[in-house]
Amino acid sequence: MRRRGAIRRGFLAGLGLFALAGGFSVWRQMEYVRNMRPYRPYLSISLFPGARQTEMVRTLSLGYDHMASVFLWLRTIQDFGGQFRDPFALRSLSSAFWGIVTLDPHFTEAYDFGGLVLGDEGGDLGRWLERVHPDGTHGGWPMLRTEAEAYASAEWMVEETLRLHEYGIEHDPDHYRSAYNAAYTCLMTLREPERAIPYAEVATLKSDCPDWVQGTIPYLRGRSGEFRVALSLWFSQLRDAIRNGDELGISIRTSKIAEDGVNAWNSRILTDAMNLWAAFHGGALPESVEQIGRDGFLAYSTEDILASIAAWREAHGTVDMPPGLTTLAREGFFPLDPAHPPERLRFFDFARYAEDVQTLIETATPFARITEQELGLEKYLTVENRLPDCPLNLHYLMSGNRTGIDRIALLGGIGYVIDRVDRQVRDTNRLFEDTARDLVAIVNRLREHRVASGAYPATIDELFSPGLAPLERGTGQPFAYDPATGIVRSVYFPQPELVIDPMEGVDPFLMGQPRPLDERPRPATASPEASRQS
Amino acid sequence: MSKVLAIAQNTFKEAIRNRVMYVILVFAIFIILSGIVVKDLTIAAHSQVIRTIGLAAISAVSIALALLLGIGLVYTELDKRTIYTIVSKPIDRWQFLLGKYLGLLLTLYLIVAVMTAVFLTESWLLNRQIQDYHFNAAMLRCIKAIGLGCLELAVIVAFALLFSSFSSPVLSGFMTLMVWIAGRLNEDIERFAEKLVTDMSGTPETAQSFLGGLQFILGSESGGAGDALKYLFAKVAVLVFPNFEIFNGRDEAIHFDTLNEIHLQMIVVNGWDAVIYAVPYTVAVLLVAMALFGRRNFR
Repeated sequence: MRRRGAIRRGFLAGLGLFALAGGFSVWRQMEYVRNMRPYRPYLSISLFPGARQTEMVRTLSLGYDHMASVFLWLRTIQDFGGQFRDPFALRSLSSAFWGIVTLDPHFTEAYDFGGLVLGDEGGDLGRWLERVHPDGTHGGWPMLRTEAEAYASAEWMVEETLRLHEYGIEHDPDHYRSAYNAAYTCLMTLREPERAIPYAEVATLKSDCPDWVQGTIPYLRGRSGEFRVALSLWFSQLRDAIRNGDELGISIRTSKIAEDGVNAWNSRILTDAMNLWAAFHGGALPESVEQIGRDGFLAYSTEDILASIAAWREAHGTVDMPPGLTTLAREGFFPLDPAHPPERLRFFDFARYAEDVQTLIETATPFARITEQELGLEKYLTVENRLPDCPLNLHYLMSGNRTGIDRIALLGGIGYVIDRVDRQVRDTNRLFEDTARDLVAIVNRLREHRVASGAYPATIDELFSPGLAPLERGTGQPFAYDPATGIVRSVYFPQPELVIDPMEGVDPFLMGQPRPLDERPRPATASPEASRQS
Repeated sequence: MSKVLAIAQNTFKEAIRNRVMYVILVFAIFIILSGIVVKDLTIAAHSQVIRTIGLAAISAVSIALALLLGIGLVYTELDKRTIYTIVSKPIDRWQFLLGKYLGLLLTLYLIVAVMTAVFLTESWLLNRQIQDYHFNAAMLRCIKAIGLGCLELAVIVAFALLFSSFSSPVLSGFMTLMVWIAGRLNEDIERFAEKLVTDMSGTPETAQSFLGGLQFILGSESGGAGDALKYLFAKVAVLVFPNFEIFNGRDEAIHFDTLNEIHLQMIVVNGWDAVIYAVPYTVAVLLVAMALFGRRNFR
């Protein structure tokens, strides 16, 4: 009896323990179900092609999703390596990439590699065109029948790439690369910068996005024709670069500001002209830009610019150059000659823009004042633009509240012009100094020659004859030489300060000439006091 | 307790004499070391590939061994009739079963420890070439994932013991496998139940409530008794079968270094939470096993 009672008690205790443990487990399980992780791409993948099959693989992998994705990844690499020249094979790899990223949405490298394989390689139209044959097959290879099919195939591959990247943006949200690669595909493969912009903007929002990706947005804006937006972005980035002391960033942004500034200005001129043309012709649009010019609606012609610059110079007289500035530099400073190469003609618009600065001041939107130091353009201040009322003077442009996007464009363009001119000035000044050094060396050698032989050589080349001490040719430029007077001049730099007379400052006696009697040196005579002491 | 430990010790000695176990262990080590070759086959994500293969191999092989060794635990004793000599001694049946359970678990944990040592050594050696900046943290996460896998093993062995306590090895092997699959697909089954409701224009909130979802299906024009039964079955399965996703630390170990803090928290498994889940669940399953085994007639 006691035994049965003990068994019953044991059973009840076990039952109670089971109810406790089992009930707790079920309760915990319910909690887990309630807080089930919503991170898996189960429901949304049905939107994508081939998703049902990959979802089946995911289900069958029984929790070893990563392992299955790694196997598929290795297999895909091998397949791509084996038949990457075959566009049909690349097309079939699409489902493999979908499989990998469905199994493991954080497989960032799969998005990268997928973009390369599907977009760059598979989206190559040339490859698809090579596989066009009216019979459908050729030499045992499957072929497309028409070129239209080739275009459609290439386009499908690129669109598939973008779908893959969009999936990556959604399901691998911590990485910038899917978004950046999508922007890259839009720009480089589709040549559609407008379409790339939203992707690039998404990329820059990611925490792992490197700084240089920021630069792609204004670049894409510029490529899309939104020059003013691009300029404001470049300008903002330029300020950041200046604050961070990023010399390379400053250099890149400045040149980009110049490029987009030129484009913005040209675009504005053309738009104004086109609007004028359209208004005059009852809303119709011109056939071409040339037609606008032909009909006289382009107000800003090169001739106008040159004329206005000439007028400005006439009003202000000759610019007083610093003494160190050479003739060549002076010429380089005004690259406003129609004979210059066409790529430099674009600066003319900016010069003209600078002429019209008064209008700019009147129309520009007031903006926060920015100092030169912030702009980082101080280093471009040089020579002529230091003059107080010169249109190229940055002080002139920046005083008052004359800021705004137009002004930024102007500054960028002018900064670029000045930068180029600065380089010319620096190079020319260096050449000037080298020339002066060469001239001194040549004149010294001429003097030696005169002392040794009593006459100047017939040509400068005699100074370089064998047997004489070597004389470096220096810059290798031509010199004008007068054998009668021994005066040698630089052809490039005819400035008087570079013309040295060999006789100047030299004792004529040393040069073989008799010395005047009153100038002959006399022996020192002793004073009477000194004689007495001795 | 000494009786339980004696049985456990005996089970452990018996298990390590099993040659099949060594074959599988060598196979597992071979898979783990295949990372050396696979590293050269991949063009990127080297660390990720090595970690993935190593963790998957340890998990899959340990579960396979749990199935193979667990299902034959009781049957072997019955088949060889050694059970008679044991039950004739002053030892309760539950003590016998618990000893068997602990002995097998000890054996499996020893195998896991060997595989982990191989995996860590391989990773350390390969990291000298790959130079993974997050190597130490990655290895800690991997150890955590393996630890969670050990909890999963505890639950599976309990189930294997439960089924082997009243059925043949083939049947108990099949049933344990089914439980493991149901456990791995636990969240998918729940989504299936949710989908039944949402397909009938119901809200996910309705689907989450057990009775609410059932009422919705029965009240819906497109729903019928068949759908209600499927829903009921799915919901019961979700609650009764273990959720092995709770022990999945591999997501975290593989991707922890590439995700930001917010998204990482979504995949991180709380180790203590998993322990709190695994222990009572295992106890419950073992109690059922003991109850069934206690009433079993050995004749």
